[in-house]
Amino acid sequence: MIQMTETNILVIDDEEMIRLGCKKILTDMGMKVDTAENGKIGLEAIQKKQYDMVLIDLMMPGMDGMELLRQIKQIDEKIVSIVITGYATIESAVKAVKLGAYDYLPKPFTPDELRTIATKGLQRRRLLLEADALRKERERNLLEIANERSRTATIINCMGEGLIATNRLGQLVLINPVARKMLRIKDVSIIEEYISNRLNNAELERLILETLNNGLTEESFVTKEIEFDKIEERIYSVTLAPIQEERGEMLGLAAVLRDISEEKKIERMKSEFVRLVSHELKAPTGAIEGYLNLILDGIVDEADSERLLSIIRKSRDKAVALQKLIKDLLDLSSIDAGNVARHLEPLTLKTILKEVTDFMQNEAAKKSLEINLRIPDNLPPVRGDKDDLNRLFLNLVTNAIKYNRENGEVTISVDVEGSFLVTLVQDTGIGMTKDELKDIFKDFFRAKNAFTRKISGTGLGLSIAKKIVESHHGYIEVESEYGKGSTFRVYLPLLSSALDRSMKNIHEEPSPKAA
Amino acid sequence: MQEKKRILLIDDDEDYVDINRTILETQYDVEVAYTGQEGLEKFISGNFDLVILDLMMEERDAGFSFSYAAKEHPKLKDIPILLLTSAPKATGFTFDFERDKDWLKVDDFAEKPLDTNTLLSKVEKLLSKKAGE
Repeated sequence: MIQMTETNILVIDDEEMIRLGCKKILTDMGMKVDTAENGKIGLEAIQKKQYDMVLIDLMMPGMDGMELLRQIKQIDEKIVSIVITGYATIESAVKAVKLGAYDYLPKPFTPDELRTIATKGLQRRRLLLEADALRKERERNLLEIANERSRTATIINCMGEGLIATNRLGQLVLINPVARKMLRIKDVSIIEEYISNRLNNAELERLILETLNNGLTEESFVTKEIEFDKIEERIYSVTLAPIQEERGEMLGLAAVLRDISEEKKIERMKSEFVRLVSHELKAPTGAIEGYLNLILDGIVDEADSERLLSIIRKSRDKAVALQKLIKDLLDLSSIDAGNVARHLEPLTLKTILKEVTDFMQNEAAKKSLEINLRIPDNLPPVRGDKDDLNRLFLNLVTNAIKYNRENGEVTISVDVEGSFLVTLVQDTGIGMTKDELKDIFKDFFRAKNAFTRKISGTGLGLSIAKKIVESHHGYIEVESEYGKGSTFRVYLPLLSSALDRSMKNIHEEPSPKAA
Repeated sequence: MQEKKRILLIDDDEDYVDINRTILETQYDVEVAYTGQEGLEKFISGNFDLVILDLMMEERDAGFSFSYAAKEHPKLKDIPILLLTSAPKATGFTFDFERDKDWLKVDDFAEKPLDTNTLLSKVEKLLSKKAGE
């Protein structure tokens, strides 16, 4: 209920007696009363002050009462106007009411008649104000609702998951851009269509329709993985949830689509890796078991002590190979784990390569191999982890020795190429076929042929090497000729190159011409 | 004294060759081939009573190439083949011998590694079956 703290009345009449009489009666009723002797003054007063009610004489010199009424309405529609008619006819009063006057008071009138009509008029004013307040309130609410709606729409349009909603009949009521993209729906006018054959995935359509057909309950939550594209390996996780009205009535279904292709891929790679690892572990343990069984089953005994010794030695070698494999697996996982434990520092490759080749000298001597180290002095340093780079070059040099021929050579050379330091590890060994080349950096890949059969290895050396190089923001290349040998090129970024680039940006001024 | 039966052992894994050869040589003459191709050449030229065959050698299906060629050869088709493989562990692909024997084209099948007694009894069974025919 609107409380009018103060009631302001304006009386516009050219007769002073009427003005004073009205003012007296209305003031006695507790109202504040102003008076105006003609329409012009009256209008000026209304423009300056907020009046609740205006009493207007219809017949005045100057401005006609009807015209005044019209102009007052333009200023404030909610002012209650009451026309006072003298010798004018009832018809003109009715005309005034049609123009927006609330009521009319014929002259001469008694104080009671004025009081009654003023009271009625003020009630009218109160109602008008109340209605206006309500309308404003409602408009504000509507605005809020509109904002809320657009806010929700914005969120739905921007969310990372696909969202589809259908009514109980299976008609599409909402689909966000992500869902359109995920389901490759190009058709713009799909809203209100039945979803059958419209979602580009029969399984999803069936899932939604079946859930709808089973009758929606609060428990109609379903989560399912749906393969959307076999070739691209797109797999979506779909969660269906009933859409429920406040009173509990089921309105339809919402389906949230999440692309889980990457997770699935990683999951598959992990289990594939575990399977490969177990197979690789089985081979040496199976061999150890087999050798020991030869002894335990009495197939080889002291009668042939040389054979017995060779079998024991072979089991030991397999145990060593197993340890090497486990070490490589640990290396692999520590590289995969990322840079956490990596200690980066400026390193001189010459020192590392010298250490590695010294360490491998014995192995090389067994095959009468010559190791050539061609490293210029004053090489710029690289930034890296010493242990990692040691392991990297140890793996490459080990391979260059293992897969070399008797009396062959291993040549290691380093040079600057652009912003990289390039290390070449060349051998004169068996080389690789094109087919072998494309797989050599894969986990557990080992070339299988008559020559490599005699060479033990985990098949992890090069995949570890590649991972180390890449974790140092470098890259590795290989070139090979079957039967002749292989060359591995390791590119490691120079320590200064990154620094140089950022310095260049600071000193962008044209430099003086070099002499 | 009866002459020893001859077995052709085809496998590219040095350790399995070493172990199985040692076991088999207690009772049989054993010849080794490290590839399917080498195996087929030896099989055709030699006079064998049984073949023990690995599946995945230099080629993943080298064993199949061998068994299919052998079972189509008029003189060799009746010589039993024992397929010995770790393929199920290496690839996740499993065999059911009873279900798959028609297309495996071998006479018996076992997963590596095989203990001494099982290997010998499987070999003996295949050899006596052949003799009984």
